[in-house]
Amino acid sequence: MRIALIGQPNVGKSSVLTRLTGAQVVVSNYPGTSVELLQAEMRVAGHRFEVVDTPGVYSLALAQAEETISRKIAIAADTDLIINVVDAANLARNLALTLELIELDKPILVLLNQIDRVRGSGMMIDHHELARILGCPVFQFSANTGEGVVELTEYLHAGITKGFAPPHPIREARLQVMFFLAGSTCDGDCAKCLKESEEISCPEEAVWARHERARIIADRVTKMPQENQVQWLCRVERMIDNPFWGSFILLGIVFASFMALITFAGWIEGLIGAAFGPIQNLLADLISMVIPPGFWNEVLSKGIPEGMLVPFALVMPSMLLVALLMSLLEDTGLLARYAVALERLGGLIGVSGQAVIPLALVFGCRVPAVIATRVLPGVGQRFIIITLLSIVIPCAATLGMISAVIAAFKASLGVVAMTMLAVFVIMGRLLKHMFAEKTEFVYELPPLRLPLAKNIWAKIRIRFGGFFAEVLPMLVVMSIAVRVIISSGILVRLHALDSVTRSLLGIPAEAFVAVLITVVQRYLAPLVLLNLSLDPREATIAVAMIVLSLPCLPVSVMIVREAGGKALAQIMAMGLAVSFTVGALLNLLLPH
Amino acid sequence: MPEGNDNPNKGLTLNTITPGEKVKIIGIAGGWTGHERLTGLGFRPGLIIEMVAVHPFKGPMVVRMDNTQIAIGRGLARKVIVERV
Repeated sequence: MRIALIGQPNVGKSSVLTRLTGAQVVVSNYPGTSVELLQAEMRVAGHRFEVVDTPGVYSLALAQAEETISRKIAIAADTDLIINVVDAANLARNLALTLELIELDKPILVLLNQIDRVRGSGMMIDHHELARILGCPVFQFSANTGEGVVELTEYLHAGITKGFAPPHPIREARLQVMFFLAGSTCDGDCAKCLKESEEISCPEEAVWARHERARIIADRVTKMPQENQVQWLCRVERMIDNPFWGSFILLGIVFASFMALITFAGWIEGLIGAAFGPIQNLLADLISMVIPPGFWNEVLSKGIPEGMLVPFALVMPSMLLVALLMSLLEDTGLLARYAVALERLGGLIGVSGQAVIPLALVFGCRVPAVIATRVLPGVGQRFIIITLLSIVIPCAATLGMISAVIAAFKASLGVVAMTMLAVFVIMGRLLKHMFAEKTEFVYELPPLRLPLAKNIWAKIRIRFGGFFAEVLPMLVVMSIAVRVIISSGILVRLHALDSVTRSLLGIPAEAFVAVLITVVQRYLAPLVLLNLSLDPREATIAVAMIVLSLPCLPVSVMIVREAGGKALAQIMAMGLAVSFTVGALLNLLLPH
Repeated sequence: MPEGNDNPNKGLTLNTITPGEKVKIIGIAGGWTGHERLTGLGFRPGLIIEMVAVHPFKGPMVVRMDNTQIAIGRGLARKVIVERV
């Protein structure tokens, strides 16, 4: 049997899925975390239920690209039961969707999610009365504490044999609202709807009427606390949502995060490097013992230990810390606040403030960031953001490698950072003129919350999983490949190109190889540099060219999936152009 | 044209409201991209909302309805006709 989880954005559908099925999914405190269908299996008394988590929808009636998939699932014939996940703290608004779902006349039940938080604030919801009005089961539920899971499971168990009944809402006269705009029962072809004007069409009036009814129902079943006690979290929220103080706080948090990242990475690198020394020597000795002296001995005894050290000492710390910081920003609801605070800045490059979320996700990894661009309104905006995040913003793995190269050659961090900023602004402005379409900004701000340690831990595990599955093996293989290139003497032959690359870009031909490697995997490129001897100026130019180049292979695949092959070709072309322009310009501008 | 009322007959639009004020929505001018989203969030004539914050440099405005805070771009706020309560 198939169960569909349907609800408005940021009500906790994904948390419910995790609670019911044990599936590992990313949950965050901002609307639009899940933009894809997620499926998982739940077993009740040996019976298999397929649970589908859908992207949040405010209304099924309003046509919006991001909402159509959820609508399809809701009305699909093979959906046996709709579980409408409702944010108990926002009952009135959430019930408007519930009323729409009930009109579908499919078996449905309502989960009053986050009921623990609601109780904490002193509010009471009479769920029996709500069930009577809606004509379907209503369970008090908390994905955090597990409250309601037993009741829900029992209901599902009973449904295996009996089947699930469609809802029987009561249609009391007093719930029928006299609406000051008549015609809310229109099916879309009345004189008013057909009139060509900017007036509001009837389906919208139907949505208004439903919201009005939802409000009346919500008022009837909720008991508000006597005094509105202001909790400390609300006070913090007020402070942060103040445009003036909030900006300082948000800026401070970003600054502190970057400082923490740099300090932590530097400190842990020394620590791991020292601890790894003996292991490296041991590995090298072992390989030398097994393989007879010669080409492969040299390649493997140097390549493998190096290939192990680089990911553990340089990439792992930044990946871990970025995963932690990102999870904290997401779960507290702070990330969404950046989206609002930076709305104006986004306007300068032709995107809405919501673009902050995919752009910030890049610091973890670009792949989920490309998927997250689905929350953006419009194809043009998505293309702008995918381009910027593919070319300009560094991911955690790249950050780790780049900072290592900068430290190793005393390259100029300031020049690299300023170059990236300049490219971001200039590219953004150019792309805005070519692709931006006018959109209006509407964004629901999630409440500020204390993150759950359990949640943060789960996210770090999911985000960090890529390290062992992808980064570590890739770096070891690549490290061996780099050794092969160095030992085989190919680099020596490249000296013929030296005069060209030096005069054009100011870097030796060997360093240019690193730039070319970005095609495969950007964070591998610095590995080549670490094996060369460069002066600070050369290293600065090479690093700037690498950080502003092509998206790596997994990201390229994702771009094709999300935006098409043509978009990827355009982004690749722009990436190459940017990388070479940056190299040439820095070569002209930087003093020798 | 200065930022202000598009509709002199009705008086106020949401973009002229200052933080702390409570207003009742009278109507929403249609034909806008963000307008559907507002409707989905429950914006409708008769609803009372509170202005929470106005971001500087013509940034977004944050309003509260029940327990939800919603950020709205200035351009869209100009399309929401309100009266003080």
